[in-house]
Amino acid sequence: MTEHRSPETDTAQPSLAQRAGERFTAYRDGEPEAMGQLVELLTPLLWQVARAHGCAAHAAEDVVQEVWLRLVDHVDDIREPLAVLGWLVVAVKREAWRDGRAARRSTYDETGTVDPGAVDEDPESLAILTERQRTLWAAVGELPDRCRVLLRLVAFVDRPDYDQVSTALGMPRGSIGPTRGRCLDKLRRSLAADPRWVDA
Amino acid sequence: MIATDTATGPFDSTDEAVLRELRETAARLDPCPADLAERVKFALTVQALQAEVAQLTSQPELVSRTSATQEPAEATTVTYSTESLSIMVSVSREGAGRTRLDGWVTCGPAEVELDQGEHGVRRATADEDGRFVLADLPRGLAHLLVRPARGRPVVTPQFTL
Repeated sequence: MTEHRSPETDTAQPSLAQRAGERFTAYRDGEPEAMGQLVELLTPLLWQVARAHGCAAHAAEDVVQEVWLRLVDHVDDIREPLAVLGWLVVAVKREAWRDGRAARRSTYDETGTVDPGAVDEDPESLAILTERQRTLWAAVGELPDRCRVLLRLVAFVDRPDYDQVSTALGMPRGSIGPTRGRCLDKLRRSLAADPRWVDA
Repeated sequence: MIATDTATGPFDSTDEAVLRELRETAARLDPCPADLAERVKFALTVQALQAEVAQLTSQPELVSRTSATQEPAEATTVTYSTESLSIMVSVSREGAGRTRLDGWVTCGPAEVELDQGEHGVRRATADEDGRFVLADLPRGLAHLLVRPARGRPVVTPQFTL
């Protein structure tokens, strides 16, 4: 019964990076609408990349748009289509940092704790989450920055893409998958100790 | 160390479930704006064509029109302009959820494309007076691309059909 697989383990299903690479190749081979499909496929992930790196919402939109425009100018520099996802993640990350430095220069904050990318965590916005999701979000927020960003982003890609995302974030391959890795392990331990997660 | 032991354990279905839940949480709490991909695609079009983007220069207004069959029809008319040309767009309902676009460009004859995203691209030619018609269109978001006989192409922002 090799045909019977759950969607998560179905290796025949192309991963996000593979689908992106396929669209990128089609674009390069003269199919202009493939770029639009690539934009639709990866923009939600790139939004998360910009936000996880501290961009305010409006800046995140500009950063994502800017990076797409740049990709079109650099089509010939990307030799390996499968790497287009990682190229975009790195580009958004760098642009987000640049934006963050500019934002810190222009915003006076005596506590020095400006975090323009912080999600509005007032009770009203958190109310759209289930108890379990609120618990999870709080636990992720307690993790070291590198882990918080890694987990938030790998959540938006498929398992074969974890190494590409880790590398794009400057973390070693294998930071997550095929073993659990430290970040996810920390999160699981923290959740296991939280009755609101266990009982939910 | 116990921490190291579980960190080197295989990625299992609970890990998968936690990440799935995290994706759901982030997407709910901090969703990518619904129209961001559309706006990126528009910016790419403008860049690829080295086009000028026309600005909205008149607010949408409802006008009554009398068709050839004497049935009054309502149409919404807006104007977009660049320094070199203006594009007037009049949108009216046809039957069965379809839409008709009557257009007029000040540059005289021109090739016109209506980009309706997933519904594809429809083409028309503006006549000597700059008039063109696109009928039987599906409803939804669209933008126009006008290629005048001389000068840079012009794109309009998105509007609703």
